[in-house]
Amino acid sequence: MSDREQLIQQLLKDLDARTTGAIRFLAGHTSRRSFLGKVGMFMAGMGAFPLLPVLREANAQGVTPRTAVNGVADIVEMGDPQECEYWRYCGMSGTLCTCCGGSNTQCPAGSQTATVAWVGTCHNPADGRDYLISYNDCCGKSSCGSCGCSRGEGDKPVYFPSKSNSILWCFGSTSHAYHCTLALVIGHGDSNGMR
Amino acid sequence: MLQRKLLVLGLLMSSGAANAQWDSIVGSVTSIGEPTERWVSIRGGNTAYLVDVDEGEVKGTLPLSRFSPAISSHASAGKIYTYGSFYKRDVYGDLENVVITFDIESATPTGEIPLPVLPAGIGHSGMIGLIDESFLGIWNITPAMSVSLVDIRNDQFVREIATPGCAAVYPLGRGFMMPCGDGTIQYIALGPNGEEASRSRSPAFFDVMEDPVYDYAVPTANGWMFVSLEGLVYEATMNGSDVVISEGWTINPESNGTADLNGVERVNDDNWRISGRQPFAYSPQANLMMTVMHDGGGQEMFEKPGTEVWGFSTITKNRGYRIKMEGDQTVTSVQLTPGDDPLLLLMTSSGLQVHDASTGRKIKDINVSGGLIQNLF
Repeated sequence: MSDREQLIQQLLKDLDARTTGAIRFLAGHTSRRSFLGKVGMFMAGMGAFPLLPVLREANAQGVTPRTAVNGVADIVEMGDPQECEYWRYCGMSGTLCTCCGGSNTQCPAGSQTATVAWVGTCHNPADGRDYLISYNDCCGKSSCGSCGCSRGEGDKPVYFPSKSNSILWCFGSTSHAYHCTLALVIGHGDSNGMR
Repeated sequence: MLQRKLLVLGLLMSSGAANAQWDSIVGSVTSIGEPTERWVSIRGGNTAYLVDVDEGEVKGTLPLSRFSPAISSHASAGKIYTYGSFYKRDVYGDLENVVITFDIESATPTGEIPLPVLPAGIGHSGMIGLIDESFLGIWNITPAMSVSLVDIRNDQFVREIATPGCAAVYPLGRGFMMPCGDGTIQYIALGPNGEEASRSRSPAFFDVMEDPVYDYAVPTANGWMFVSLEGLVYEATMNGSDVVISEGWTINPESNGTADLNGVERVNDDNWRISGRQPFAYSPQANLMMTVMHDGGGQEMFEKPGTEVWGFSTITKNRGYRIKMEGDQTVTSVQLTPGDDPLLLLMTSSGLQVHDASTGRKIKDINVSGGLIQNLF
């Protein structure tokens, strides 16, 4: 099975696991008519963008860590994750969670991980390979404010949301208050074609 | 004689003291007055500053939410609209999404209209638009994209219109335009009660992966001006129910190795690219266009601050002047006031600058900081 197929399988598993929570959030904050409208739009959107590279965060229960699933279990690391020049941050725009009590894969205590994210493809200088990076916002607290980083490589306007960092990516969180941003490696960029 | 003079002097002094106008210890409240075409709104933090750029003064402020990217002015009716999202405990707790109506003269909120859909919490003036002085359109992303319509004639939420793949609300007639990810401009026409009457799309004129247009646009006499990240300028208008896109022109014409009329080789400025959060402005009356410019980098620089502002004649499509920021100053936003003799406004890292738009000459600094600059008229 190719990396790309593995990635899509993982995406589908994640969708199953996380969609319930996202739907609960939407249903709890909108009228029934509006909620049904959203579901309709979402389904239409899925048809329009079958390969929309928006990825949902893995459920903590019963899911193999994605770095292993996507064939990137042993990433050779180089650079300081608290510096904007760190290789995973090529598409970053926001505050680094590594400076706020979190890491590149875990939100700081008391914040919530957004379940939808924008993506970028970054080059790892240590192994010379490109990796697909998911930038998930951590939300529900006021902005951390430390280690601002805005590189935005590959950034697009908001009508192309999967590649736009100008959106408040707190979907799936109970609050839209932005705290900081993760940088998760979710696949090899040079083999899955999702740039 | 001396005693009499001293007596008169003493009486005068005591009289003056008795009539002294001391400030009241409880103060009082001013009203803002009537705005002119030279008034703008500056968004800074959770506040909209209403600024008279002629006088160079902040005339008042409007309290916004942390999720209110812009206002929509209806100055002829004495009103300003915005929307906001409010959590019970500021950043968490129960959520209320509302449209807020402000009375300009008193700078106070006078009404609220609940919104059932989560609006975009960040962005620019394209997030909210006043349509035909009857409706407010508000762009939502949840992440499904839609537009909420509010009827301001009776202060009622009307409906949500699905707009998959398209963003922002640029009013035109009784409808609105929006750029879309398939490289088109969509127009949605509304009926008398805000129902969707029709929708149409232009032919695709840009490639989102190669050279997308900004999701920010500015009004022209008959439509809206869109600019691509590589500096191609387009106008979108309506011809009946068809969306028409003008032929694009570039702000970076090829000049490498070519000489001007006098044989002088032109300076290579190909590395300069349009950038900024509010990257361009246009005056249809004065036929002027302004762009924030950044030296170097690729398309990823499209929202970064610039270090120059370029002024163009939209009749000849030629650049007339360049304004260079002083020292390490940067500029993020550019705006032109309405009218035949517009002022050029720049939001810089040091505050608001006012320039003569025809010459580029700086007139004054105004002590207000922020981001988005919006005309009230």
